[in-house]
Order: sequence, then structure tokens, then C-alpha cells
Amino acid sequence: MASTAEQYSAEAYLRELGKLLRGAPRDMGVELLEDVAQHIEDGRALGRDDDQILAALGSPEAVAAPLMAEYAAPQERAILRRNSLVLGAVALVLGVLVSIIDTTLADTLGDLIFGASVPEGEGSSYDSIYEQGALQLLIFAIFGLGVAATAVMKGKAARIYGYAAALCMTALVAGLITSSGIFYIPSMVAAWMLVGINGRSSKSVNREPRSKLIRIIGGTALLLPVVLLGAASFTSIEPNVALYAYLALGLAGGIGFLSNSRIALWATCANGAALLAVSTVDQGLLLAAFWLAGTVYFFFGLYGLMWFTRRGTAGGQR
Amino acid sequence: MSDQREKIATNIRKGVLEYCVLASLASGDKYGLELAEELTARKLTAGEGSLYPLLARMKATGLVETYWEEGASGRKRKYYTITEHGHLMVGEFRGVWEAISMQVTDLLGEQHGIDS
Repeated sequence: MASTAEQYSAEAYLRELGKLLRGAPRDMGVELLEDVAQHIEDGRALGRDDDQILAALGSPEAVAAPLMAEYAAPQERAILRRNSLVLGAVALVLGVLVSIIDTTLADTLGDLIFGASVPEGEGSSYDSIYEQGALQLLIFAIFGLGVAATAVMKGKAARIYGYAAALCMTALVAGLITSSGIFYIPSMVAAWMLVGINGRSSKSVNREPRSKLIRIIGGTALLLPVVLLGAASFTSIEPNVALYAYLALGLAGGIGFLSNSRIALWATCANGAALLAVSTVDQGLLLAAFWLAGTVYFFFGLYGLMWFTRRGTAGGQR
Repeated sequence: MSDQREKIATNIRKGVLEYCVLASLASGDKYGLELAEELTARKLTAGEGSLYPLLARMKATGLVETYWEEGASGRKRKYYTITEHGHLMVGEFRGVWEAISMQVTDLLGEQHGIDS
């Protein structure tokens, strides 16, 4: 028992304890620290030596643990709550974007349900597109609503419903993969991320290993096009300022993501959101490519913002 | 073997420490070190430090209160005193403990009988 604490001096012991209590509510942490300091002084007053007192106290970790267990759990729950609401909002917006795309795109889920009702080459076709368009818009926004609804549910209901919604979205994507299916991929990802949140009990605090994996996969995914384009610029593409600027930005973003820079995470997420929005508003030939690229950027960025431990606070615990 | 013993003791202490603190305070107000020494001497706590988070929680739930008083050494010390609610809880615990320990002793006695 003595071996755990005897490497500390009393001051180092209190400093270590203070460090461990950083996440606790301020007044409670300070009070505990004062209690232990008083305990040490009282022990000295009785003629004990520091090693003896500290050994009897137990390790700083053991002293801090009960308080931290009590306060880390609600904190963790609040984070889960916030993240699930963010994902719900994301799902809602994605639902609207998808419904816009679906109403304006030919050969889609809409056509499957309503039939390809617009006769070719008739003057009145625009009217019918817009008449049904409004209806379709409503119907496809329901997918967004359906996924978002998970976020406001709790407990078992959220878990079961979340799974059902995610499976529905997956079936939709898989079933329509040759037509409009890919546009539901972001909604599907959001649905599965919500499943992930609901599956987490508030006790599973340690998500470091998974964050690290996502960081590596995401960083690689973000850097890959930059590297390829960089290689191409030396061989075939005529180098110009825009290309170099893109390469520099892409490189900074990818490396920033790998090294968990908050700015890079925000930039990645915003970049993805912009790509998704732009590809909806200005649908061109590369609609699907932009949409998918946007999906990748957006969700890697979002995941990082939601789950990566902020640098600086990381390592405070351990 | 002594590892197993320590494990069993730790598990049991975890559940009763709070009431041992209350019972100790029921016989008189104490300051932190005094309380810690008593519980350690009785081998009811392994680490004295973990007593303080427990006391903080007991204060938050209204089982104990604190006040500052000058001790014999002339320094101000934080004393813990049991509340009315705390006394009630000791009473409740006494009932539960007596029932449990009686049954456990009884079972262990039977076990002993089979063994020998």
C-alpha cells in the first residue's frame, strides 16, 4: 500500500490531485483539495512524517475517482444529448436537400412512386413537374424527419426506432443505388451515427481508440485526392495558382484533420456542407461526385467536432 | 489468498462505509483526520483519502453538516456533525445490517456444519 504514494512529496501529491480534479465543478474540487491539505497538516501536527500520511491517504487517483465518477457521467450524457440533437438537425436539413434533388432529377424514387408522369415534349410539362414537385418535396422530407425523430426520443424507444430508421435508409440506398440512392447516403450515415449514440451507455467514456481510427481513415481520405492531384500536376496538368492554392489548402486540411486541429475540423465540415448545398442548388453533370465528396468531408468533419477530444484537455485525465 | 481476502473486504466495505461514518459521528463530532484514523484503525477503509469525496457527497445529501472550530493546536479545523436525517439513516441501516448479518452468520454456520 505504501508503494503507491511514496514517490510524491506532499506538494506534488496535492498538485497531482488538483490536476485530476480539473474536470469537476470548481467549488467541489477546491473543497476536496482543501480537505486533503488539512488532513496532511493535521497529520504533521500529530508528528507523522509525510510518507506515512500520503501512504495512508491512498493514490491521488483513488481520492479523485469518486468525485469524478459522479460528475463525469452527467457531463457525458450532456455531450451525447447535444450530439444527437445536432445529428437530428443535420438529418432534417439533409432530408430537405435530398427532396429538392429528387424533385428536380429524372428517374428517381419520385418517378417510381408517381410514375414518369411528365410526357416527353409537351408544352405543359413544367406545370406538372411543379405540381407534383411540391407533393414530392413533402414526401421526401419525411425521410429526413423520420431520421431526425430519433434525436428527440429517449432510452429503448430511441434505440429500436433508430435502428429501424437506419435500416430503412440503408435499404433505400441499396435499392436505388443506380438512380437516386446515392443522395440518401448522407441521411443514412446520419441515421447510423444516431444509432451509435443511442447504443452508447453513458458509462462508456473511453472512445479514444475509435476516434484515433476515424482520425487516421479520415485524414487519409482527405489527403488522397490532394496527393493524386499533386502527382498529376507534375506530369500532365498545367500548374497554375488555383491548383497550388487548392493543393495547399487540401494539404493543410488533411494534416490538420490528422493532428486534430479544431480549425481544420470546422473547415472540413463546412467545406462538406458547402459542397452538399452547392450541388443541390446548382445541379450539374458532376452532381453525384460533388454530393459524395461533400458527404465525405461533411461527416468526417462532423465526427471530429463531436467526438475528438479537444487538444489541451486530452491527457488531463490520464 | 490474501488478495482474495482484500477483494472481498473492499467490496463489503464499499456498501457500509457511509453508515460507519454516520455511526462514528453519532457518538460525537469529529474532524477529518480523526474520523479517518478511527475507520482505518477498525480496518473499515483502505484509503483515508477516499473518505473526503464521500463526506462531500454525504454533506450534499444532508446526512452530515460541517462547521469550523479551533482545535487544541490553535488552528481552525473543519468538523463533521451528523444531522437528524443522518440519525434516521443509521437507524434504518441498523435494522438492515442486523437482518443481513444474522442470516449470513446462520448460512455460514450451516456451511461449517456440512464441511466438518
